[in-house]
Amino acid sequence: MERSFFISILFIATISVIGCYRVYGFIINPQRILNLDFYSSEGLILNPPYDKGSLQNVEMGQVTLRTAAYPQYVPGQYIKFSGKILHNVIYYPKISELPEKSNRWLLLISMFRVGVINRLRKVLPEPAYSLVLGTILGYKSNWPESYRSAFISSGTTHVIVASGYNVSILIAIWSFFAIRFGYRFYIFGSLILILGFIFMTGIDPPIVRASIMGIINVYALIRGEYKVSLYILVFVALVMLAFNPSFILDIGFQLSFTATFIIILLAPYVNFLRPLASQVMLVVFINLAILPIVSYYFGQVSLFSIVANLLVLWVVPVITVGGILLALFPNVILQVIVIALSDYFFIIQDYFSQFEFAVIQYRLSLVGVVIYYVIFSLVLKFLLRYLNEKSD
Amino acid sequence: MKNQIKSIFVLILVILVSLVYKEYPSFKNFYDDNLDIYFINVGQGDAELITTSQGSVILIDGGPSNNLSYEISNLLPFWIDYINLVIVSHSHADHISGLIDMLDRYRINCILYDDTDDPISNTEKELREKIYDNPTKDSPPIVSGCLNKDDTLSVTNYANPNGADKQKNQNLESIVTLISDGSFDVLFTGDAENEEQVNIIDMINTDIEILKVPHHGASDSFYGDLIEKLKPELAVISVGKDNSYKHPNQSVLDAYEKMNIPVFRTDLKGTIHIKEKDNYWWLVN
Repeated sequence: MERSFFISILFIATISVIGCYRVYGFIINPQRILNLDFYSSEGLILNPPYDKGSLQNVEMGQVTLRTAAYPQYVPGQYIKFSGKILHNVIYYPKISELPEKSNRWLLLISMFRVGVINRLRKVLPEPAYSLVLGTILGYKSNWPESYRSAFISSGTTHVIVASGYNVSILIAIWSFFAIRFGYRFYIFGSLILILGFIFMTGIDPPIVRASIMGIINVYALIRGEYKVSLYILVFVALVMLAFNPSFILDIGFQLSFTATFIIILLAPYVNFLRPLASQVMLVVFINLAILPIVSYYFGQVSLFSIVANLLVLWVVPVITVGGILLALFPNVILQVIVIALSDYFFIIQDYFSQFEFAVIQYRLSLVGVVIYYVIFSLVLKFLLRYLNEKSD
Repeated sequence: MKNQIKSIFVLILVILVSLVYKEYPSFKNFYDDNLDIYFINVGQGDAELITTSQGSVILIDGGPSNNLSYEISNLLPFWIDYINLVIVSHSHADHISGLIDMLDRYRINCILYDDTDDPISNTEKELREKIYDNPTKDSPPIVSGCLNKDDTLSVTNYANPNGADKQKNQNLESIVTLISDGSFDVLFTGDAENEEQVNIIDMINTDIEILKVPHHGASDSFYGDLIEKLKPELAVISVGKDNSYKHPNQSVLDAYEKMNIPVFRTDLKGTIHIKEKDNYWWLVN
């Protein structure tokens, strides 16, 4: 176990160096940062556009289009766009659609996604609606400022910004639950869950990545092949990074990788602990593991984040499953259950977000992140040794 | 096994308590005998919600974004899926953007909206599509038929006789709405500027209790004669914090102060909630 652990660390370090090198090269290359009075291009919309303030953001490769909220664009549409580009962003570009070049399959998935959104909008009020969309669709809602700051100060932002992380958690919790009902139920359910996610999110890259990691996680738990799972996880991460090195800068990628890594590491010991204790252990260690990432990106760390997460994280998979069922079969009972769960989530969030003193404005430097992970690895090593002895 | 059942029972109880805790305030306000008027804090824009003792719901404007959806879920119980009357004062985005989401979420009985001129933005185009998709009653100006049965609330709308379709400035086409419950009157003025107020002053022949200050307190919309005639006891300004238009204008605030009319602002107080029953009214928050 220990050997595989350190080999994995070595792998991650190697990948990180290669990835950072390539990403660094990409960042410092001035030709990639576009500042032009006129820029024109065309392409297929791959990622679901999202609202920010009163504008709609459409990502076209390296270029982001910030256009009016309407008409709303969807993945699968092929568009031609032009305008003044500043730091790879075009404000109010001229956009025309070329329907003959659109991708039918993506459009079909988009239609399904829009259908889910519209159905949920009719049965769920805000903020339950945005919470459910965030968890099941990775939908980046236009949260009002008061909600956004409450998410940050309670340390629960990852629930809405990094859907990949939710998928990892959901699959992990699903795994622990489903294994009691036999392997067939377990494998079948997991695959349905993952495929469902991929389709409902409109093949959103973070969800696809997290789902692939989720599959590895499921494999690990079925076979008890924890060592192999870690290798596969690292291998998959490597392949993803080779495919697109900029993933390493993606907070969703980092969070879902870290969460899956911790889940697989702790998986062998989860079964011999009581269910509650194992959940607490998982949540605490996942949170400790993602802490530097959160500090690095958001510039602040919430002292109560672990407590808040312990109290709310169990709700997220239930809301996700409830939300999916509600979108498929709208009914009053499910509606009330999902709203009640969301009410619980926001009561806890409100409570923890009021302790402003507990939010430390601190942005870890890159060196700080490395030092933290070295210490964290040592702590993990001792914990695993202790758990090993106890399980023997 | 017993322990598991116990834990599940505790969890269900916690969730139920959360539901009651969170939903009870809107339930209580909606089902009491009072008229409730909310000047909703939607940022830089306008949105007002009125719920009557008979359960009718009126929405005037929708603010600049989907913030309204969040605010309204704190004001209406989640099982209320209808709005009796939506009034679109005029076509500016800070008054209509939030309505698009409302039209998706609620069954709308009547909509009062001037669609005789061309849409001025993609947002308005989208709003029109949603309105035309929505089966509403005809002849919305006769709004009394839109409210629930037995509702005695009176809704009167005024339009600028020189405004409709002739103005480039949409503000001058604002629909001005007077809501009266007995002798309690509230005037919602949209973004009506001076020129429109001069034209409608003779149409309104009553004292009012509450005035929604026109055009977020801009200086081009302060018409002292109208205020003197209406004698409001309270003025409310719907305005966003640190907005780029610098609303409200200091001269307007000074003028109200000089007239001894207290001014409440949504950027400072958040959503402003007023209750009324039998011609008595009070500020809830």
